[in-house]
Amino acid sequence: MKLYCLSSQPNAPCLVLTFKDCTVMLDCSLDMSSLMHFLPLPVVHSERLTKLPIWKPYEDKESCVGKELKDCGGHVFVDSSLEFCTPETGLLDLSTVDVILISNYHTMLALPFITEYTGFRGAIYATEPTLQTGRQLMEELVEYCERVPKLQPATKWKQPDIIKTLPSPLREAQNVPSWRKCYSKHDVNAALSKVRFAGYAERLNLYGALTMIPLSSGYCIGSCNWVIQSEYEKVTYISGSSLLTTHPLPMDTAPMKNSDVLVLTGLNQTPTYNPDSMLGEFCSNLAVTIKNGGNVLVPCCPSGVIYDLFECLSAFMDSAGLTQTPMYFISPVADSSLAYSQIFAEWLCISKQSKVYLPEPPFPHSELVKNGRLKHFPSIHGDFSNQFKTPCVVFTGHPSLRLGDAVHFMELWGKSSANTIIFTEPSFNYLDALAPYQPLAMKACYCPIDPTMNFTQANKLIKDLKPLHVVIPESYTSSPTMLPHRNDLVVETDPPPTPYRRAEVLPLPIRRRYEKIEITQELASTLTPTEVKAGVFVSTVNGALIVKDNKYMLQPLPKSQSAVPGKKRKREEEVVTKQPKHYVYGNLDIDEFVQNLAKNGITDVKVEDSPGGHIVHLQSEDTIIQIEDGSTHIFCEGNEALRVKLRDVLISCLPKF
Amino acid sequence: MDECFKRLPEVFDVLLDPSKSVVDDTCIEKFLSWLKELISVSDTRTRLLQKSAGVSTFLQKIASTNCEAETLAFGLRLTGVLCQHSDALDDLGNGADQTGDALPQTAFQKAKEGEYWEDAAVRCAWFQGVNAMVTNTGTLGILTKIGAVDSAFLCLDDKSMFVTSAAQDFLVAFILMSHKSDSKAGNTEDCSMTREQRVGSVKDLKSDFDTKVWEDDCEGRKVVKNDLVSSEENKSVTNKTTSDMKTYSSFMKRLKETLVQNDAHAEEQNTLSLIVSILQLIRKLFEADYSIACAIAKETDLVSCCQGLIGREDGAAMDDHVVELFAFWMHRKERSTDTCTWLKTDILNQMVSAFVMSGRFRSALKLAECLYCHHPSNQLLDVIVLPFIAIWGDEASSNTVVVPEALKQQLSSKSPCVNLLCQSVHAIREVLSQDVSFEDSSMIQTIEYISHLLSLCSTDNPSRVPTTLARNAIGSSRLTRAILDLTLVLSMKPCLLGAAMTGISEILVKIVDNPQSECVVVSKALDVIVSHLHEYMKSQQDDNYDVTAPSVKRPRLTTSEVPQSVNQFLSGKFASVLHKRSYDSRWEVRDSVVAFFDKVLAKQMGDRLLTDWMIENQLYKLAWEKLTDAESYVRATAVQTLCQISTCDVLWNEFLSNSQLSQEKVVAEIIGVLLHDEEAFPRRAAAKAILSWFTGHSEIRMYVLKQHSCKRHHQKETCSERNDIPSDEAILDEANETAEKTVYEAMVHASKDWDFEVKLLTLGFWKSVVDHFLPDNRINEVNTSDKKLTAAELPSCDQIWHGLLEMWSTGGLTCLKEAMDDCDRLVAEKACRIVLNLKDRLQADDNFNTDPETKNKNFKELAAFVSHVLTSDLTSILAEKTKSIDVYEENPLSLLEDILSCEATNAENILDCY
Repeated sequence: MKLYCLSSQPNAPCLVLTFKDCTVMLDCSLDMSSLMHFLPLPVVHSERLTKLPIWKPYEDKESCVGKELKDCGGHVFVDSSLEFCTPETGLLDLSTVDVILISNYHTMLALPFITEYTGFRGAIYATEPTLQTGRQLMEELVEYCERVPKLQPATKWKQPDIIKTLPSPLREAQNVPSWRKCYSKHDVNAALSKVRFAGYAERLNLYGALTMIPLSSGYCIGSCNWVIQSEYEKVTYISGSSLLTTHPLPMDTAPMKNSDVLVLTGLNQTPTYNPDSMLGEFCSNLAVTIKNGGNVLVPCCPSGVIYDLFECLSAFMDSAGLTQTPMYFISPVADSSLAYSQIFAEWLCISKQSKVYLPEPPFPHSELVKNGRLKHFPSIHGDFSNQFKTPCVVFTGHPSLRLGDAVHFMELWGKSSANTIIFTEPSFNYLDALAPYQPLAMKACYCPIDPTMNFTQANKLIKDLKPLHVVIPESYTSSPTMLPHRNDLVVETDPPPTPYRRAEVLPLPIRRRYEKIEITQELASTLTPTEVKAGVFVSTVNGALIVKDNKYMLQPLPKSQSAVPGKKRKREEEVVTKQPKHYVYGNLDIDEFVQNLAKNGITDVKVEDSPGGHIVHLQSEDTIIQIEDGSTHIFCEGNEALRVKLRDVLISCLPKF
Repeated sequence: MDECFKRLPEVFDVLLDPSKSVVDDTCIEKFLSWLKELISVSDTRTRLLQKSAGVSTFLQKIASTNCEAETLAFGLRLTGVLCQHSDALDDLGNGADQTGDALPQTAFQKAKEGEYWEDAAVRCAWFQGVNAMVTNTGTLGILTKIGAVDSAFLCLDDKSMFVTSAAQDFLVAFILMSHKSDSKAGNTEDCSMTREQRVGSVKDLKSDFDTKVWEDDCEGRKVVKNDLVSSEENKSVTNKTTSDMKTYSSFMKRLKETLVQNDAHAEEQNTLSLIVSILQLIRKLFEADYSIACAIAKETDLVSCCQGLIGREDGAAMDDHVVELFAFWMHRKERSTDTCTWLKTDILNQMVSAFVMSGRFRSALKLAECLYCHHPSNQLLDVIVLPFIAIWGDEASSNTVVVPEALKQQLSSKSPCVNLLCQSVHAIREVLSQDVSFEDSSMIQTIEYISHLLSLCSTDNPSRVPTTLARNAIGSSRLTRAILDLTLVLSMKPCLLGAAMTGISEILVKIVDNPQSECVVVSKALDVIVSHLHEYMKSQQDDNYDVTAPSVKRPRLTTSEVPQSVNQFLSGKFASVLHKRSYDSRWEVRDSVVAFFDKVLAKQMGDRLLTDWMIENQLYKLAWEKLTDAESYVRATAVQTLCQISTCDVLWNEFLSNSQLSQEKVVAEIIGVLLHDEEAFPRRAAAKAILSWFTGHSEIRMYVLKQHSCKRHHQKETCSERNDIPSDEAILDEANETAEKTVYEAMVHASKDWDFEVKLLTLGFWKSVVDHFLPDNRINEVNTSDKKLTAAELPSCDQIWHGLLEMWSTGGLTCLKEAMDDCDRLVAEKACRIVLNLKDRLQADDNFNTDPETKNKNFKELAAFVSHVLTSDLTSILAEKTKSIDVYEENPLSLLEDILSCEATNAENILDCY
């Protein structure tokens, strides 16, 4: 069993597991940290961004990278179409991947890169909400990228001899060769057409060799963890799970117990920020800004925590006397996101499920939309400008502030200190996100709401699940870089976990020792088991082993062709004679043996104890029988008749089946 | 009472009848309390002891027949109470049984027999009984015969803590009695001896007592030499004390043996609990009589015994008792003039060191704290700050203190680390709050440790962590709370806090800003800030207003001279933090923020810096906004804060103008809270605010009066149009229908509130109304001492009636009248007091005409009210209202009926009770 790691981000996992000749890809995430090195894509022409000076290593020299790099407030950014860090493709032939298992809609955004550009021919499994929401996220991403096309892709700066001369942090950019432009809508449709639906606890079969079971992970609608098992081995893959009570169905942990291998990833990215406190802080910052006449921008994903935010925020705004303040949700997929969230009732927590029977929508945002408090638009163009009123709260993408409508609002509101931007997505460093907008008068608040498991919960979960081996990203084995003293923010197991990092292949210490073989009814009826000890029956089996679809079947031996009856008979006889009638087992009772010898007329017997057993001396016959554990030797000086006689006496004393 | 005495035999019969159980356990206690009262009075005692009362018969039956354990326990306690009095003792002594033993003796001996003694209630009652008896020296014979002291000693480690406690109490009483009776004997020789001398003489007597006075008699028992008796007169006294001293001597010997030989039986749990019990006993002795306790401590070598107890593997609980004992001793020593030197400070210092050496840091810290409060020394301070030094490691290298490895080991786990640090912080707080003098340099160093520790424990992400041990303190709310408590004490000592406050102030702001800070932590941080600002403002006021030259005002300090910490608190950044926290999702935090302004304004003393800060950042708006908060506590605090803002004219005017509000609108809003809020707390706050405005805010009072007169004028006009005169009720009903009510109408409405505290506050308001319309001139009379007001100075009869009529029109008098019969006793009582006060004012004028002629219907009703007030015996009504609700004290018959009622009860009823 081997594990290939194709991604460097623990929260954007892409792993490949090979086992029993099957190749299983676990998640297919897109690492978006590369976006931080690019200039934002403005929806409306931005004078400021256009006039940014070209970066030059020396004032008087022309830069060897041409106009690819721009200087913005001391930071160097790439001015080109956005590029994403795709999973590692050189580690193994991705066309051999049999199946891709998707955990949640955040971990499937690299699918088109794999399915459309590597010769992939396998299957993809995901739950229905994951597929639908994933599609929305992909479409939003494509829409954001395509509506501001940059004709010239920047390539010069990527050359190894140039990149090392660039200023930090561009110089430290990770895995630059893997960076790719965004895929197209066609790629998205093609990739998603290969996805098959899976339901929670459904047993999915892979070529008969492995069974794959998705289990609710409690993180977002339709999110799941995977149990991959054969008859005698079990591997559990935990990715992006939450033990908090939010809108999704709670995490199901029971079937993951006693695994041989547990692969754990997607833990909390902001473990020192309590999600509950952050939700309160989000509301407080928002209220203060609105009361002071400012506007609030919340850069966010179009689904997930945003549903909880709408629910909490509307209640809070009522209590704080801000009922009249409008909330805008701007995304190309805003409409479908709000609509889909209400129809996946069976994937929601019980309290939300029960609302369906009232009948009431599970989330209150439809009510908010109905009474005009929450207004959603596909973009800032069109209807939005007619209904836009301030002060207001705007939820829009993208959280990286490099693409999407959020870029426009940053340009619009950034100059006033009355406005506030509140970051709730934990995936991006908010200071890096704000870097191209400096100098910024707008207030920035960081209230990351990350409902995923924290390290304490993960350690407790591992103790409960009792896996034999734990495999985790390398970053989970030591305290976070920014919190070096927090030795509690690590995953600790006994025995210590096996760490992995990008482009690493881990041989997992799992050996196949057994395989399950079935016996046909016909063959089974010929068996005559003998009880060798209480509860243990033994029988000899002769049959032909048939292997089909990774299933092993023992059938009766095939009968010979009837064309040559004579030969057939001969062969059958041969077979029959070659098989012993009985198999003896157990230890010889020496007293019984001596008595049986006497019955057969051999009375002159002398028994001596030897270190390994006994030596029986037939003095009159000048014969020695050496009996030891596992072997018996008869030395009878070529007297074949006596040897056969002695053998038969000996066998008669042993139990047989 | 006669009826009670008649029922007593029946009650005793019920108690003796095993088939009947008393309905309620407390009945027995109440019954005994009542009997104690009767017994304490000579006449009733005599009557009780008569045969007809049934007490003697009851006690005889207790002693002679089988009864329930509870009944026996009651009997023993009753016997003990009776035997306190010699006449009762004689009376009971006459009722000797066949063996010739006195009744009390038989009863107590019976309790020790068979299964009775296994019942903890009986054992407990036994010791309570003998404890009561011991005050009468005449009972010593009985106590000796029943082996009271031996039994008490044996029960010192009883499995029931109630029995242990009762045994300890008895032994304490016994020791005190022994010493006092000895003193009495000594007094016959020299009455002029001081108490200390007497104690000394008793001790001498005791030391002689073991060596000389006692001689073995032929049976091996000790007898006293006759030559000790100095005179015939003292003979009887001495004979009494003889048995006492013998028992006492034996007891003390055992006590000492147990304490000294504790090591020999260290492994026995019983011995440990016995020693703990003895330590508790000595502690009680210290509480009862300090000087005698000192003598006993010396006699039993308490110090060396306790030193021997330190550091035992199984003695952690014992350490606590040892520390408590010495802490108590030190506490009392300061208040005592006793010159007893049985314990020296050096020995205690040694004990602290012993605790440290044996790894008992908790005990070491506690003892060091107590000792430091009385005898400050750097050595002790080093012990107190030892956990700080340990977690600071090399950074505290300037300190020469060596940190024991055992302490480091304890601090390596999170829970003990936080515990020890909390205790250390608590110790420093205690030291500081007791105004102990200390070396500034060492204490300043300690404060630096504390400020660093606060930065460490108040956040999940500190910038600097000195040692691995310090990691255990990160993010500990408990430790943060403890340090904030200490900082609050420190904030009142600006001289000490000095430069450290700048660092602390930054942390405090961060704590308030941190959304993950616990509610209590935020509240405490804000309290520290209030206290610091208060200290600063106080110092400013002291500086600005020189007492020696009040006419010369110094110029205000410029902003640059303001301490950095104050600037930090009165900054725009902190204001925005407070704004943000005022929208916190936790109501406790919102409440703390609003209360912060209330507290800071209550102590502001007109500080311009503060008001400027509040105006600049529009913080006054918060109180107004929070009037509609979802949580009632926050609404209540907002009302209170709004009222507080009104006391500062600059702020109030700024608030009104900036919020585009009028005073009337604000008052109307508060009236809205008073009338419509569903929770009691905001209504109480609103009533209080209106009362405060009426008594202390001249503009609002003028508005209230004007509002009322306008409304009356309007009503009169309406009435004249209708050509009829509506009654007060009709006016009120009409007012109820109108959207806006006057303050008076609101208070009339609030007088019928569901919450009794709102009603009490409205009564306070009506009292102010009475004071306003009918000023109490007698106050002036008292103030001008003996100088009676002249007729011209007194209000005329017409003026009084005018005032009364005005009051009547407010509805206040009607409210007072109704409140006198309110279902809440406190309300009725307060209303009575106010009306009584009104009556006194009316009666102060001799010429007050109680029946003026008028045709006005309202006036007639008022006259009827006045007449009722003047003719009623309000004093007796008030006495009735203030009467205790404990009816049985007045009428014990109901208690006896309760006990007797068990005859009528059956199992079903008992089940119903549950």
